[in-house]
This record gives sequence, structure tokens and C-alpha cells, in this order.
Amino acid sequence: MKKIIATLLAASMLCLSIVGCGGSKQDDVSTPEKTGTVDISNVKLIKEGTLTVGMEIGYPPFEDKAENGDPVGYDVDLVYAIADKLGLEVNIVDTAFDVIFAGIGTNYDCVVSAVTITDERRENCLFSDPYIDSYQAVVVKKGSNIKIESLKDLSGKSVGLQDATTSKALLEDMIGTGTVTDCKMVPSEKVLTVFTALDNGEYDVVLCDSPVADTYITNNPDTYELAFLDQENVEQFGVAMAKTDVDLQKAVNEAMKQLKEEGFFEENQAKWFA
Amino acid sequence: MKNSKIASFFKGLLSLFDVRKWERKSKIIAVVLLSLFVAATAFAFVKPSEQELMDSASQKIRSELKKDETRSRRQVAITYNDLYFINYASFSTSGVKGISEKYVGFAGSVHAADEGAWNVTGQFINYTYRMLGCGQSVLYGAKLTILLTTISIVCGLFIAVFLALGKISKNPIISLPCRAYIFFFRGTPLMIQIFCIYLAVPGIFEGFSWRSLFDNNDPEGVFKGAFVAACIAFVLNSAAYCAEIVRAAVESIDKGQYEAAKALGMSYGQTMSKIIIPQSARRMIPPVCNEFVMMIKDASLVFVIGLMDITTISKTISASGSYLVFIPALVIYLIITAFFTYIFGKIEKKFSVYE
Amino acid sequence: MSMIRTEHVSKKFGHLEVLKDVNLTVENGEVICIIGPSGAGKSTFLRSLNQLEMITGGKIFIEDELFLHREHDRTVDSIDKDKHKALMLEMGMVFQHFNLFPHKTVLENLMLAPMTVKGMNQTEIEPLARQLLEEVGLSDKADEYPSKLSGGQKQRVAIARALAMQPKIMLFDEPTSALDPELVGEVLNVMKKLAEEGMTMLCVTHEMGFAREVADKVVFMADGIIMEEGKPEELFNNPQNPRTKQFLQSIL
Repeated sequence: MKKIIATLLAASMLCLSIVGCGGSKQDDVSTPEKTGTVDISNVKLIKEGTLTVGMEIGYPPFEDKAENGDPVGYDVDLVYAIADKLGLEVNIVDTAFDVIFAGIGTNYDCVVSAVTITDERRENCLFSDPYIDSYQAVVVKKGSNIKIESLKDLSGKSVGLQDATTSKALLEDMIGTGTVTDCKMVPSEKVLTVFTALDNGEYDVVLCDSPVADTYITNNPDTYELAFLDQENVEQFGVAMAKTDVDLQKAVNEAMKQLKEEGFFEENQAKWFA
Repeated sequence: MKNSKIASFFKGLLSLFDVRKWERKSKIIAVVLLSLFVAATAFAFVKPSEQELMDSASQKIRSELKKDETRSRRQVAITYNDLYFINYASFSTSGVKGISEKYVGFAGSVHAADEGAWNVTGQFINYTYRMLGCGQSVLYGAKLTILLTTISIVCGLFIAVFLALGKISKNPIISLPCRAYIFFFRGTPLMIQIFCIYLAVPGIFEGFSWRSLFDNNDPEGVFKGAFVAACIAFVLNSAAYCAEIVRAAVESIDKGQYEAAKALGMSYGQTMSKIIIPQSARRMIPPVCNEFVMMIKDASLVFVIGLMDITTISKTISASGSYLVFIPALVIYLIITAFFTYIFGKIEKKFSVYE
Repeated sequence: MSMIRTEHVSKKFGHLEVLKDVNLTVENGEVICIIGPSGAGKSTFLRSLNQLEMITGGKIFIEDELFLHREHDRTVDSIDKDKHKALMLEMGMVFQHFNLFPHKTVLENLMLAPMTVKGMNQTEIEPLARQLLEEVGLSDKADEYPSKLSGGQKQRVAIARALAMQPKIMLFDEPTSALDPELVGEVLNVMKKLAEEGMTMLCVTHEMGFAREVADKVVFMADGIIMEEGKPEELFNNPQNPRTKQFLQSIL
């Protein structure tokens, strides 16, 4: 019996070491040089030939996981399109959203994760040109008798939202200034938790970005409905980069310009938003 | 007989306040705490009032505040934190051109706290205020942590006694479910248990939501509901852990005690309740105290269902503010832990009087 | 009327046969000492009378009523539950290692069982408990915890505790074996006094002097059976069984 265990152990060690070697060997094999349409000779990347992207995977339709675990979504398609233009491989690093900005420049080159461009965030990082417009949306459970005519009507409601999002910053600001009163804000880590809890009846409303609201409502038309879309304040999503990374910003903007000319954005929008 | 028991319990409770019976160490602690309190009270008396702090706002802020009265969305966020002997106020508008003014009121004068030592002081006041959960509901900050852990350890221990006795039982119909329960709750992460109870239970029972346990018009209902779910998860989890503590303690009692009780004609229940459990209680206290301290820290897991404890609040603050926030967080944790360790030490002493 | 009678009592622990065929009758008011080498089954026999061990075969009668009848580790017949409990309460037991309840004071040790088992209230039992403590010479220790007492004092409390249930028969399982030699006397004195008061006693002991002086009958056990029984002077002075002779020679 002991012998068998020893053999098994040895065998598994061998397997592991082979796998390990295989991994490292792969790095040595130089991938055939990709060529892009944007000049990136000045751009310094964390890993040569690869665009490393920070992303919180769990915010459909922008970023989600396919059943095989691969990241999919609007932002993922965008990242691959941009990388294609830059002639780079893509490496996506899944990161919790509340710490995502701390890793720019060290863990990944840029963040593409439905990041709203805000003045506050601009103080710490660079943004590309906006790639999509988004509004704050208020979602309620289907058949709810809650009427929201402006964000002020969130007073006295319990509001579910995702942690570290602009929705939260906005609501915090409105509570801080007294624009809304007696409002109970419930932040959760994942947007899925927020919507499940809304369905369970724990919250009155959910505050989130309009594309996210659209997706959940489209996919579950019997469960959720849109109560209010804040069209006064448009939010724009952009690619976030390290404050000093001006060259990358230029390159990304150039790539997005080309993509725009090719009609990529309409296509991608049509693919992800019904 | 019951009455006399209750009376003696209160007598014991009262004797805690009898200073003559205290030990020297307790007396020193009490004197230090008392003098700190007196000093703080003295400062509290000469602290500037809220109105004085509000009046320090600059002309710019005042004009913004004036404009806010007619705006649909107000711009100026006013923060006022009162920490007994010191207070803090800030006015800020957001955006690139946002203005921000901070004031600390201490010892009779108002200090501008936009930079330097007063700025740090102001930040600490604000952080501490938020983490303690001042000006918030009971289910917020330090209050949430203390309430949640106390409820879970007390209820958990109560259930644990039955689980432990069940697990020891020779009857498989009783012992197997207890074993399975303990195996399950010790073998799965607490965070997933919280998730399951909060999200899956309402999914299974159509129409049930944790919030519906409370008045639907109660704005606090959403937190109360989540708290109940968290409490259930914590109680069930701590019951499993405490059951092992209880079992170990019960099994450490000499076999002779069972035999003596049996020879005197006592039933199993009488033996357990009068002989075995009281004796094992003392042996349970150190590991239960340990479990409790762990749980104080585990309480931060409630963030997954939207409740805010000390850790979660400090994390939130650090995301937008400064990492200095962790200093008051550590201090608050240490104070809570020290307090409960002290209490457990006292209880242990009380139980070990016969040794 | 006999207090206790056993017929063909046997007890196995797995394959180890500790009691083979034990037949013993204890008359009312009789003091019986059981002696014998270690491993003879003396303690096991005593404990099986008190149901601390379940016998594998044989019959036990208490006050001439069939208390328990077992064959091949199965209960053939037993007395009904209420009577069982009542009869159990008629036996008090004193252990080698005292087994006092350490978390209770001496007085509480005495009062606990009468209050919980018999449902007596404190005012009824306290005078009796105090009187018993006085009889064992420990009335000044009533409010001490057992940890503060010497071995001899502990054993006297244990005797008083058993007596507080007002039993008709007392079982002693090597009550002095765990004591320092100088403390043995005080315990034996208490037991002697008890015997003089007419208590029925069944006593496993190594104190031959005590057996000779106090016992009405001495029983010699070895290898799970009773080898010999008789009046103390007969058994000690003129043992019939060679095993008894051998044993007595080895200890004297």
C-alpha cells in the first residue's frame, strides 16, 4: 500500500514538473511578431508584446464569464479590437473593482472595466476618449408600485448598488449634500448579488449604469423593469491608464479612432445591447 | 427555588460593583479609565458648539449653501462629527473645482484643519466617528460587529451544547445528524453560508424576503433583514465550532463523575446539567474566547450582503481617502478585543473558584 | 429476607471473562468484606450490582425480587422501571477515587442528589446533610470545596454523600486504596461506626484488619469466582482453599 502511494506521489510530482516546464518553455518560444496599424514604438508595456488589462469580470454585459471561464463582453471585444490595432496579444487580469485602480501600471497596463470617466478619477489616472455613453438607471422589481421621477425620489428608499461604482459615488454625494434624505444605501461586491437581492425583495430599487440595467431587463423581462433613466447626467466610459503613460493613451486613442472609422462601435453595440 | 437562583445571580452581579472586593489590577484599570473619562468630560465642556463650527465656514461656502436652497441637486456636502470631547466639521463640493474646508473644534477654539496636524486629527475624528457607527443605525460599524458576535456566540454556544451531546450520543439516529451538521458547517466557508442564507433562502421560499420580516415601510428594514440573515449564518456556524469545543470539554471530564452521579440515581439529563456541563464550562472558556475573538474579525464578511462593519467601512474610506484610516480601525478592534478578553477572564475566574 | 442475592452472575469484557459464576447472598444488616488478588473481579462484581457494569449472564435479586435476569448478554427479565429506580436508590456507593463533585461545596455535594433525584427541598435535606457531616466529623468543612480537603476527608464526605440518599445498603469499592497510610484510619473508623449502627455493607477492601474486626462474613474471590466464604476468624485462621492460603500468606 505504502509503495503504491509513493509511486503515485512520484508520478504526480513528475507530471507537475513536466507541466511546469511546459509552461516556462512556452514563454521562450517567441510568438510570431504581430503587426498593428498603430505605431507603438514609444509605448512601454508591462510585458513586451502583450497588452495586460485589468478587468472586474462580473459586470455584464461589459464583462462576464462564459461557461468555460473565458472572459466575454463588450469591453472584452473592445480590448481585443484595440490590441489588434496595436499589434499586441491580450492578457486579462481579473481584479476586484474596489482595488482596481491601485494596480494600474504595476499589475496591468490599463483598466477596461466599464470605468466612468470622472474628475475625481482623472486626478489619479489618464483616460482615453470615451467609448460609450451611459446613464444612471433605476431598476425596480416588475410590477412594483414605486414611482421614480427624479433621483430625488430615492429618498426613503433602500437602494442596492455595486460597491466602488459611480452609482455609489453619486448616491453618496446626494446623501452627503442632503439632496436625498433617509435613503438606505446597500453596496454589494457583485452586481449579480444586487439584482438577486432586488428580485428577493430585499431592496426597493437598484441604481446602476444604464447598459447594465438594459441587459438585466432584457434577459429577465418578467423580473425587472426600468423605473427611471437619468438622462440629465451622461456618463462616459473610458480606458484608464497610469497618469504618466501618455504614449499609451495616444496609441489607444488612435486605435479607437480607427475602430470608429471601421464602424466597430456600432457593431459591438448591436452585438451586446439589444 | 428558581427565585432564589435569580436572586443569587443578581447578588453576584451586584458584587461586581463592590469596589472593596476588587483586585489591585482591576482597581488600577478602573482609576485610569475614570481619570480619562474625567479629563474627556472636562474637555467636552469647553468644546465649541456645532453652531460655532458651522459659523466658521468661509464666505464662498456660504454663498454656495445659499444657492443650494434653490438647486434641484445640492452641491455642498456638510459633515459634522461629534466625538464627546472633540468635534469636526467639513464642507465640500465635488468635482475638479470642488472646494473643501475642514474644521476641528477642541478645547474652546475652532481650528482650520485643511493641512498639518489638525488635518490628520480631523481625519481621525471623521474615521473613528464613521467606524463606530455614530449617527447611524445600530447595525453599522463597531455596533454591528459587537452585536453580531455577541448574539452568535451566546446562541451558538447554547445550540452547541445540544450538538455536542448529540455527537457523543451512542444512538446513531441522534449522533449522525449532529455529526453531519458539524461536518457541514465547519467544512464550508462562512462567506458562502452567509450568501446562501441571504440569497438562496428567499429564492426557495416564494414570496419570502428577509426584509419582509420587518415592517415594509421601515427604511431600516433592509439592514435589519440582512442582519437577521447574517445572524442566522453566524449562529449556525459558531454552533458547529463551539460544539467541538463543548464536546472536547465534556469528554475531558473524569468518568468517575458519571459513575458517581449514576450511583446516586441521577438521570442522564440531571448528570449533564448539574455535574458535567458546569464542570466543563470552565474548560470551555479559553477556547470559546478564542473563537469569539476570531469571530469579531470574521464579522467583516457581512459586507457581501451589504452590511457595513469596521473593516468594510475602513476599506471604503481608504479607497477614496487615506490609508491612515487603518490606524483608528486597529485601535477600535484592539479595544473591543481587550474588553471581551477581560470579560472572559473574569468569567473564567468565577467558574474556577472551586479549583 | 436477603438484601441482595446473585445467582450465576457472569461478566465478559470482549473475550475476557472477569466474572464466571458468582453466587452470593447478603442478608439484611450483614457486613461482608470481599478480599482477593487484583484482577479477581471484586470491583466488577460490586459495580455490576449497581448497574455501573451490565452483567452478561445470571440473576440479581434485591430484597428477594428479581431485579435483573440476563443470559448471553441479553436481558431476559427485569423489574419494571419505577421499581428499578426505587431499588437503585437503596444502594449507596463509595468509590476508590471519591468522585466528589469538585464544583460543589461539601454541603452541596450531600444535598444535590436528594434534591434533584428525590425532589426534596433544601429545608428538608439541609439538617440531615449537616447531621451526616457531623457524624463523619466534618461539620466545619461544610462550605469548603473538595479541592481544599485531604484524601481522608474527601472519602468521608463521599460516604456522607452516599448516606444522604438514605440507602439500605452501602457498597464500598476499595475505599482506602487511594489514601495515604496515615489517612486510612479515619475512613475505617467512619465505616466501623456505620457497621455498628446496623447498616448492610458490602465492602471490597485490602484492609485485612478491618475485615477481621468488622465483617460478619468474609468472601475470598479469585479468577472471577468465589473461592471461599466464611466468618472472618475461620477464613483468616483456617483457610480451606489453597488459593486462599496462598493469598493470605502473600499479604501477611
